Amino acid sequence: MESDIILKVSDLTKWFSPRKRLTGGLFSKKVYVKAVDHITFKVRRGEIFGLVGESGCGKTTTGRLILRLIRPTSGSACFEGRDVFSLEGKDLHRFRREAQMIFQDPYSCLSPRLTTYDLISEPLKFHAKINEAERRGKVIRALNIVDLPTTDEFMKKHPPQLSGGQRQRVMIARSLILSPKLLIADEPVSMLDASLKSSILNLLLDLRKETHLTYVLITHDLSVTWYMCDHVSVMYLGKIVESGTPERLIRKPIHPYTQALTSAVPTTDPSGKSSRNLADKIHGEIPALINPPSGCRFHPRCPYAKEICKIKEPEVIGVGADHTVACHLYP
Amino acid sequence: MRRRLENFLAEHRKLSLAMLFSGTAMVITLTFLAAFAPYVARYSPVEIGSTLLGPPNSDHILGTDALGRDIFSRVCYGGRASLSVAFVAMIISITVGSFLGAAGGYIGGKLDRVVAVFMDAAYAFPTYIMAFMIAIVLGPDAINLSFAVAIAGIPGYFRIVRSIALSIKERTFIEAEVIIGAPTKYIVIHHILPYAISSIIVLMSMGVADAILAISGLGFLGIGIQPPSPEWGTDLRWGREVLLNGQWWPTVFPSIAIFLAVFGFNMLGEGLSAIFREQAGGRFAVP
Amino acid sequence: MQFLEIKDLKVHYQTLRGYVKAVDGVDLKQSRAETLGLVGESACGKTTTAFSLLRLLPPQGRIVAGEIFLEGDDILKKTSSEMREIRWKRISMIFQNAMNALNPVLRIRDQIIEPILTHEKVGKVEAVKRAEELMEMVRMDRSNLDSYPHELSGGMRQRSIIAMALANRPQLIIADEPTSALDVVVQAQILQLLKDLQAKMSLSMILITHDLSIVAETCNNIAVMYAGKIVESADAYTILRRAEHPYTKAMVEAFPSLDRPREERLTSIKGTPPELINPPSGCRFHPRCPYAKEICKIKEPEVIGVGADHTVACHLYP
Repeated sequence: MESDIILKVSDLTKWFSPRKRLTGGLFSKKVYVKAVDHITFKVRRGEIFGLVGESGCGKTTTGRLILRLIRPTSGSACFEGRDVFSLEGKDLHRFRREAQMIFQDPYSCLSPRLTTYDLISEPLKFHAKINEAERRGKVIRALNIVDLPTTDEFMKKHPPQLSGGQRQRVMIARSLILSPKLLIADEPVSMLDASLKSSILNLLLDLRKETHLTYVLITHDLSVTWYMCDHVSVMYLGKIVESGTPERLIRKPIHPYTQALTSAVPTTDPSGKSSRNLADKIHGEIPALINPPSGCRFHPRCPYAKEICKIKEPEVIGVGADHTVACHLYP
Repeated sequence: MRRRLENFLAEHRKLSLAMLFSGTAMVITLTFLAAFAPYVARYSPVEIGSTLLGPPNSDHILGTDALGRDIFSRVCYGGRASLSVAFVAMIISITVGSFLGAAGGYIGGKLDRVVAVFMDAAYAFPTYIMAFMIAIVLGPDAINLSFAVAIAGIPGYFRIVRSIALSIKERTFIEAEVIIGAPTKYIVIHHILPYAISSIIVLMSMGVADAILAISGLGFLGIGIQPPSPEWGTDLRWGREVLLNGQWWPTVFPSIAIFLAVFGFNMLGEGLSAIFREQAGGRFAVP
Repeated sequence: MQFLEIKDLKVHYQTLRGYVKAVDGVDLKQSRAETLGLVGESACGKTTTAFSLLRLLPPQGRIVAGEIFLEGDDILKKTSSEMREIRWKRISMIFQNAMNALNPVLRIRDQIIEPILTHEKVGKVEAVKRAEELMEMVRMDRSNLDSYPHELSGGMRQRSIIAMALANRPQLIIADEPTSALDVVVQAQILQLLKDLQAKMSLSMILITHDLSIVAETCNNIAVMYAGKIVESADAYTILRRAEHPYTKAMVEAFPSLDRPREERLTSIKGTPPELINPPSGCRFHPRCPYAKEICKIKEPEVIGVGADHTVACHLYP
């Protein structure tokens, strides 16, 4: 059902061109960092959609594009049927209420000058004409949702006085206070200690149950997508290489890169993974983003690369229910 | 309260504190004398007295000048002139410079680049040269002087606030503001300017010192505040003439006043600058 | 005789904000050619313990008590010049972020031969030859010797500092979060490399990390640290599947891992790790422990053996 789709990204592309002086000034050939290159995906209302990949794959840029923090080179991102990049005026303002983001580093995203109360209530200033008592009520409700104290003393604290876990929760409370429909979580737990990671992840899961929020979860950690996501898309050098449920992608991946990725992730299973043979699955390292490899971007590292892989980019094909892949091995 | 004072003193090095306190002391003394001139000075600064060029004595504690006017009084009222012109100029400079700098730095674009280039060019002129040029064109007068010093001061604030805006605008918390729908004006006023405050404060002290030097300098050249109005530089000019006769007091005291003012404000600025640097984190540090 | 034995190590820091008992009575044993994983969250004392082995603490830090026996020799009683013979000859270290350990203005070759020239009486030619062998050992092309650090990728930089650490054929390598700045695939390659090198050279290794999955993959034995103390220590299997200490159990159950069923909910530990300026009284974990009793608030638990090579410090035992 189309109304079920809350976010539809089509052919979204973002190429950065570094300034010419970096390349010597007289360089006539344009050099591009193809950070995100014609990606397409759909997010259903209420689901947790994972965008996973290593550094330079474009997942963070995608998150910023969806929230209109940067403009795309081409393509569209439709939120509830309307292209985010063509919104203006009141529609844009409403989008700013309905789509929020939580960030990786809870310190740098909270202004150290403001108190917890100010930080959480600030979004209300731009969207709701309510009086002081109502505002306070909303802040207290937000604090309750994220399991933080609602005492006056706590609300007067500044971020430097809070622990990492508390700051993360303050950031989540702040993003929830406008009751958004879509939450983009950019590496929400990668900077937290192990004992805090799980409590924040559980909090996000509980929130989804109570409020039917939709998440786009951006992470490099496959274990987090395993635990959290309903649907996962694996990105490599700006492209989506495979997309499906976590069970499919992690237990039975079919794209060579996904296979290498799942094979590389360490687990807490002590029965030893000494026979993982990573070298059979992938070699070399992620190439520089400037002028990526021709054809299939993964071909220099792929153990199954054929001639066609160097020349032609593979198209995205469906290979099962809710399962797509972009690889010349298929069909 | 006492605890905070103790923490404050413990946190900062002796040199910074010494600079801060000495500067503050000088500034407060001068400001006091200037502000309360009518009550502190026994004589009017323009009242022509009977004793011409009288040395310091119990009646005229700093002596009298060539027209028999009390030098102490002239120093106090002269302070008024210098300080008031400097402060008014400073307020104009800060307001215009900071807003242009914050907006330019955050919003960017071609207009900002063009303005920045002009500001850089203007910044190359020392305050008194700029003031000099404007004073010659507009005529010597307290208001014109304020105006001249104000214009000369704008690039300083512009540059510093703009560089802070440039360094902050890519930060995550600014992105967070955009995402929740904050308008640009709000972001500039509430999230960029506050981080410029400590730098502005430091610049203010140095700026006042600069301004006083400019005002006195112009006075000395004869194109500043005109006699009979009391002004340190102007008085210096006339005092020079009797210096070789052994009458040192009309020259020395205005000079000391200029020195204390400039040195005091500079010390204050240096002290504040060191203190802000030493304060790790805290409300005024740029995140 | 154990290869490495740490007895009752206490390292304290005098900081502006107070006196921090970063490491407060740590006992560790390690056999030759084994990998010992030292796990814990931030500020639990694991990095301080490692730096104490090399006696490379910052000026505010002091080893106030304890003994560290390397093959029977107490390192803490050695003089500076004796320590220089140990550092980078018998014990060397791999750091978390290679970019911080490499000199940006020197070529890789010059950085690798430096420890060789410092510690052994060989000429430059011989040293360069050794550097080339080391490159091969860490699976890097020799041409990289000519490069500067910024010209190499993250993985290659990490391999470079591994080569530097191996330069004088040490007996013990301390790896402090060697892969946390790397991508998953490179991380797996580096961990595999470390395992292979260890087998080939009979190296002993202490791997310090907060990541349980890494120690699961690479370590023979694991010691879990909390707030400056070792709370449990045993072989990897026991820690991961039969842990006894509440903290260890909670950590394992809170760790998202691909081998767990998806529906199984991660547990979380309430509260936050304590400030070591003013640690909790008694057992330092008691404010967060679901099994805390009265005695836990008063008396620190002693380390007791609960199985073959398995020690725990908890009032639930014996």
